[in-house]
Amino acid sequence: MFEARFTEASLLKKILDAIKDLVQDANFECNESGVALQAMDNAHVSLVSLLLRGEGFDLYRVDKPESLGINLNSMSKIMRCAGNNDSVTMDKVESADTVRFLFESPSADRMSEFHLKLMDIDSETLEIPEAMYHAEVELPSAELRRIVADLVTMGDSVRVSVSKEGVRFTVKGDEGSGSVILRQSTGVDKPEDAIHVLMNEPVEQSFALKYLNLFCKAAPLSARVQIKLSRDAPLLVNYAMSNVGHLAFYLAPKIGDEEDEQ
Amino acid sequence: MCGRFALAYSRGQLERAAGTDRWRRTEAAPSYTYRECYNVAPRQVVPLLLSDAADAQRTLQPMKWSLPVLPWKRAASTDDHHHHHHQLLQVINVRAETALEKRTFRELMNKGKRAVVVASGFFEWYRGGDQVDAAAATTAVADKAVKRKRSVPYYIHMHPADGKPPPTDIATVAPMYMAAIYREYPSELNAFAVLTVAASDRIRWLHDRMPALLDTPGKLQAWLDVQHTSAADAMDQCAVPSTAIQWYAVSDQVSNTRNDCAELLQPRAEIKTNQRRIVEWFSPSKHAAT
Repeated sequence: MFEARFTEASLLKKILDAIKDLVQDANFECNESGVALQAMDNAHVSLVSLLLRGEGFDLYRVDKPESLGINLNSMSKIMRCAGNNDSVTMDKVESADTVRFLFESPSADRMSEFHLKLMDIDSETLEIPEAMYHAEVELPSAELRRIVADLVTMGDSVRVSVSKEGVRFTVKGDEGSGSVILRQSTGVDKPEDAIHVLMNEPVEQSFALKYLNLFCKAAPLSARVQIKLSRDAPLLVNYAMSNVGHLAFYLAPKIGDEEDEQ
Repeated sequence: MCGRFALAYSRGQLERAAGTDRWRRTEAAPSYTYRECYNVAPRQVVPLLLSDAADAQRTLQPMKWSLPVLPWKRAASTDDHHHHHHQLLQVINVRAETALEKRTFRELMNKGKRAVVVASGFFEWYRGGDQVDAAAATTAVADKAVKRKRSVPYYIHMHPADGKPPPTDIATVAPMYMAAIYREYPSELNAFAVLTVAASDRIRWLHDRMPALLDTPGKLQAWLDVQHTSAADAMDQCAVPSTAIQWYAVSDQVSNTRNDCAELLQPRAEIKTNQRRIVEWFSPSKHAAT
């Protein structure tokens, strides 16, 4: 038996919106510590890693670890049937080939239930090395979303460079070029708007904007986002969900752009 | 598996890598002359390094890549050796894990028919994901290209000692020594097959098998030294997947065996692709989650 209840459907809706354009099918691995999902996009360029801790749920019970293979688009359709403030219970009995979604309105006068067929998804879990990153940037997630949305109209890839002056996003396209620089915040009157740049070593790497743009769909999950990067390593874009877990995206760099532009 | 490799060395470079300039002429190929090849495919003739039975000196000898063997069922049911040619299988790879369990290969191993393919690197085709090299190109056309399933060839070579990316000069990368077994024929070229092992964690994303690489001078010498290293010991040593390797994507041109030029070893990035894959850093874990 697996059973998990979220107080509000909106969280699950936001998570699905953030990943369903990147990944079609994925296994939700449920064990006593929580629910984890790890999946790559089709081109194997990026990796999504979701963790929902058991204690972050309203109710959480796993008798035996379960792997729920789910088509995220189908799940998203079902989740659209839930009101934002409805509570959501997902449950599955051991031998069942479906998972049940139970939505209850806050006033408990409306209940609906949906069953989603489970799939056998053949996927390997990737080992993510505990990397020491050369640079870390923490900024408002809306700010990152804005930068990426602006730059994606200009070109295919963005060069992200962290130096003493801050973090710079540069794009070059057929029509022209552009760049945005964010400096370390000095004042702390509004901590949620602050920009923190932590640099051990200067880093400069290029990434496909197409993927970053998809990652930014996770912005509603968290007011803040962390970006970590290293030379010759994937970029980490992490949305921490307080008390619940995190949604992290890894993106393989592009090579060659730096040489072209120097 | 290992079905294509590169032998990009000049004769002098090959001899240095092999540690010998002694060649054994064979009557089967009196006119054989060595020439570098960037795209060695099965059935081709390449020099193999072995230890001369007479004086245990390292010797280079041309052999043909593909080992004729009887199909398993037939081999088990016939004790005589009146084989018909059409019944033979052409084997290019032999699994190291089970080589000593199969009669044909065990016989060759017990007779000390061990040799080494000296290569500059080998090729493997990535089939796991969709093609991404068009992602950097422009909009609509690129989106279509991204969705089309295609395989991308990779060139795998030994990791340069200083850990830097591969220099374009092939001579500065350590040679690759692939363990092989061969069969001698009185009037034909000797035939060989490359031993394979489970791919090391570093390149399992690319393919689940890789050649058995003799990645230290000790392993190389032990494999060649059929006098002093038993078949079982030799097999134990070569069965450890090598991690001293590095790779990069190369042009699709290598897929056609008729192509043979230095450009085949050029990184694909210089040709077009510059998007790398996440699996180059994160490898599948042996234990499935939960």
